[in-house]
Amino acid sequence: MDRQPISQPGLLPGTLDLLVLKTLSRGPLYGYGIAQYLEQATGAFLHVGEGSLYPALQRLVVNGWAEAGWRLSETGRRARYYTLTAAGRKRLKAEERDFDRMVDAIHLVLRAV
Amino acid sequence: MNWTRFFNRLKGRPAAHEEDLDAELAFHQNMKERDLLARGMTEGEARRSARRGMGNLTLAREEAYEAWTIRWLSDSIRDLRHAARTLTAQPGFTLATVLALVLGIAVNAILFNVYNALALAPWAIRDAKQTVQVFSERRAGQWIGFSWPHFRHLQANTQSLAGLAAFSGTGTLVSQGDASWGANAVAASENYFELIGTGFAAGRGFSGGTGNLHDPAPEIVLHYDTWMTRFGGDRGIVGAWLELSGRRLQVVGVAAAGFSGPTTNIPHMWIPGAWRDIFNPAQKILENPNSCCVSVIGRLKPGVSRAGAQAELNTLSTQFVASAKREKSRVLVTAPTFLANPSRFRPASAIFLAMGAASLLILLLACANVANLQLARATARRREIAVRLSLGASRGRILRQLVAEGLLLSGIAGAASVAISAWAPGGIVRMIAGPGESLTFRFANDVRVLAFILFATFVAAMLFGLAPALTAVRDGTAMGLREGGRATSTGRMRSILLAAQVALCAILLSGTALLVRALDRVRHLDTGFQYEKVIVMSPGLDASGVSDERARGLLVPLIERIGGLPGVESVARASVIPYGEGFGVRVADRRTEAGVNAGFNEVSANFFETLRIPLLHGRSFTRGDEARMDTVIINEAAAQRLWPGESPLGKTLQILPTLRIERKDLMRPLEVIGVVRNFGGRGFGTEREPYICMASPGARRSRLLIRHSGEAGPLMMELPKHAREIDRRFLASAAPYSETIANALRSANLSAAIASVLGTLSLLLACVGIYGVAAYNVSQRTREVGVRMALGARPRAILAMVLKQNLRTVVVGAAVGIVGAISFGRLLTSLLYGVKPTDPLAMLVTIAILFGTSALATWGPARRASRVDPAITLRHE
Repeated sequence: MDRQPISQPGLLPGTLDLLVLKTLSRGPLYGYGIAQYLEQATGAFLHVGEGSLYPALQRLVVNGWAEAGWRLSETGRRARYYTLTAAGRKRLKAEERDFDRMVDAIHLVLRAV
Repeated sequence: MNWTRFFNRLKGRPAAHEEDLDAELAFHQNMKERDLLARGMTEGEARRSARRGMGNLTLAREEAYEAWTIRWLSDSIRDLRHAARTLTAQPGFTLATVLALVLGIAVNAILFNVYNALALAPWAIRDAKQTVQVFSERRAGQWIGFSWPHFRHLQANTQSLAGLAAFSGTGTLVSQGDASWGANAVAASENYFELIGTGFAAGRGFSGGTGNLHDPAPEIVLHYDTWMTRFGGDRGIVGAWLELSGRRLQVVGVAAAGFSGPTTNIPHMWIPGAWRDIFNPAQKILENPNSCCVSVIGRLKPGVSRAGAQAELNTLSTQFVASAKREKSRVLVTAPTFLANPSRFRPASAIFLAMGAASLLILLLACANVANLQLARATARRREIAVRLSLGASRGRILRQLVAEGLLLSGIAGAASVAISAWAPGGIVRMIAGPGESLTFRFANDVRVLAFILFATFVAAMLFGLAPALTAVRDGTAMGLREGGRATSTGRMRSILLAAQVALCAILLSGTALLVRALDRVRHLDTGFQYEKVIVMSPGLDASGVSDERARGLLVPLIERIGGLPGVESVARASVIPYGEGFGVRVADRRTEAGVNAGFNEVSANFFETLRIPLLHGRSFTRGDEARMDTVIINEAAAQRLWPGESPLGKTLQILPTLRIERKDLMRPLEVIGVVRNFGGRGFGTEREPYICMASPGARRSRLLIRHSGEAGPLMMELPKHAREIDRRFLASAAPYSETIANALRSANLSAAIASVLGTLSLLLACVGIYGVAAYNVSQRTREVGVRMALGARPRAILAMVLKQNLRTVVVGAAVGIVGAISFGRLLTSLLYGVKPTDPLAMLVTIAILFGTSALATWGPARRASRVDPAITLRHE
């Protein structure tokens, strides 16, 4: 049986990829940094576990949306940095659009009654 | 298709990647620890907490890994393991499915194995791939061998063949001391073993050299089996002298084990070709360019194709027939297999086609059945599948799982079929072949047979595995999760499958019914003579090497002596035994140029009297007629064909020369002196065909018909002794005439038996199918039945309702099946002995059996439905 990545409760399926793409659009970053950023940016609302973060990152690499490479971090240690590719940017745009539509739709339903 | 993604996947999981991931996760943990320390935790706390936060590292690694690999292989193994678990959990279902599939696949495997041995597998000879068989056309579409001079001409002049050998079978009488036995010898050209032999177990082959035609080398090469059974594998046999039909020949070698040459029957020995004329002095075939005929086999030179060789041999053959003033005949070069000869292939292909269609139907039936069982299970598993779909399993994945189950099931059935195909065909063919016949065919599971079984197994798996799988997945989550979700499309699919099953079953059943009818008809055919209390005796002079004159001289005292034995009423003589062997001639006819085909027999004066065939017009034969050999008595059918509306008495008939008949003494005008009632001369189905009997004084091949009044047993026992006391060359055997008739019935018996087995199998399969569908329908309608009963429906009405539902499908299936059955029946025409493919009785019986069994199969589930307790079923909802 398939094992799906375990996502944060309350996080819509598929949105983790979108968030990671968005984070990387600000510039190359390593895994721990991405998790940190997401936690800070959401005011500690979202806690992204490693169990779902790294598979998501591998997915991006496999799909050609991001590239990975070792380089020195700001603290002087070797870290694996992920860089968004052109395809990744395109993907991000598409996912953002889809997400907006989804949110609008959900709003419509929630406000309707 | 995204190519980057595709190539990334193809690259698989790089070795370095795992280390990358480990390093990356270690870095992650490290950073986390550092942050926690900065927030004021102690070092130990920080490490524990960081590790806890990391969650399941192994899981994370696994998840990342899955994104990298082509998961197909590992998934497939997992699918198969899952399938094996599912199947062992339901042994009943698994057993039923595998059994049905084994039936379907094994029947096809056996048939293909036989076809392979006869048509695809080459003879067991040296380097068979390069050897070819060469035939000449006698009449349109009839391919036979060559006359000896014709063969020599081709052999001397061919450039495209590395060699050309000829051989033909001949009987011979082997005398060892006081005992003697009849042997099948093959008279072969001197290069036979060089060209196709596989070596020698002892000694050597023929010494070679074309030599003098009338003085061939006195050499024998024994078959390995003869060496073992007759001479105990003694090496001292090489160099020994044997007496063959009164001539002394020396054993020079023993062929390698397993070598029988390109012939259907295993020969006892090989002798140089020229001996044939010495052992059969009546026919001088070696010098006669018109004689028929020796089989010819050749070896292609490297790079020469069969078509190339055929073109060259055609040219050489045209030269030869021009110089010999013979009609032109075409030459055919074929692969070295038994059925490569088109004249053999045509009749065989009709049988293979009929059998092939039947066994394919059985396979389809088995698949339809298993598909239905699978559908029933798929329905039962809807919830399982729906749950898995909603948990995120992909449709493709579930589909693959169901297909894996199908492959596993049919794989088991395929393996069993391989085992069955290894022993069954040999056994069946031994049953079909008469006693004492030893065939050279090997029914081995070679590459072709294994490939066929693999293919059939795979096709079966796809046929029964995919349809239910597709239905199950298409219905998806919503339907399956609903409590008591009911099948709609599956139900329709099951009905279609059931109707198809019934139709296939109707086809096979009607085939069976037709063949059983044919058998019944054959059994009740009037042979036209009384064969009870008649013994057939073969004096066994065929292979003795004596001339026809000499044979006559030996037969007269034998007949006199047997006629004088107590209990013997009369002794007649005939060249062929009616129903035993068939011999035919063409008789000139005023209206057709081709003439009229008629059975032909040379008989003694008392032949009709002995067999109790009544004379209708004219007179009977006398002793004087025998010596003159110019009078005939014909049956009514011949009289009607040749002289319709006229009296045939006093007319003369002329036998047309055919290449098979080398006897000039038959080609003179023969006077018709009498007409007898019709009788079957050439086997079953020939009872109304023209038949001509000529009075003759007998020959080497004569058989005796002995009518007796007492017990047959003791008389039969002493007959050979009397023959031997008159002359040592008699190799007599005797058997009741009823045995000859039973032998003639064998092919009708056999086809009816095979058809009955196939028909019963298909009926069983269809029964299981009908029962399965009925039981399923009832279980689906339990609630409805409950409601009806609660509203006052009586059990009887419920019973009728359920029966009706299934019968509607059966009616549709049967209607389609009967139409198919009539076209299938046409394939069987040659086996039906005049029963029409549309025979109403056979069709009625088919329909009756079909409906009877369907009603029976539906009865159980219907009864269960009528006993439903409304309270319980309604609570079930």
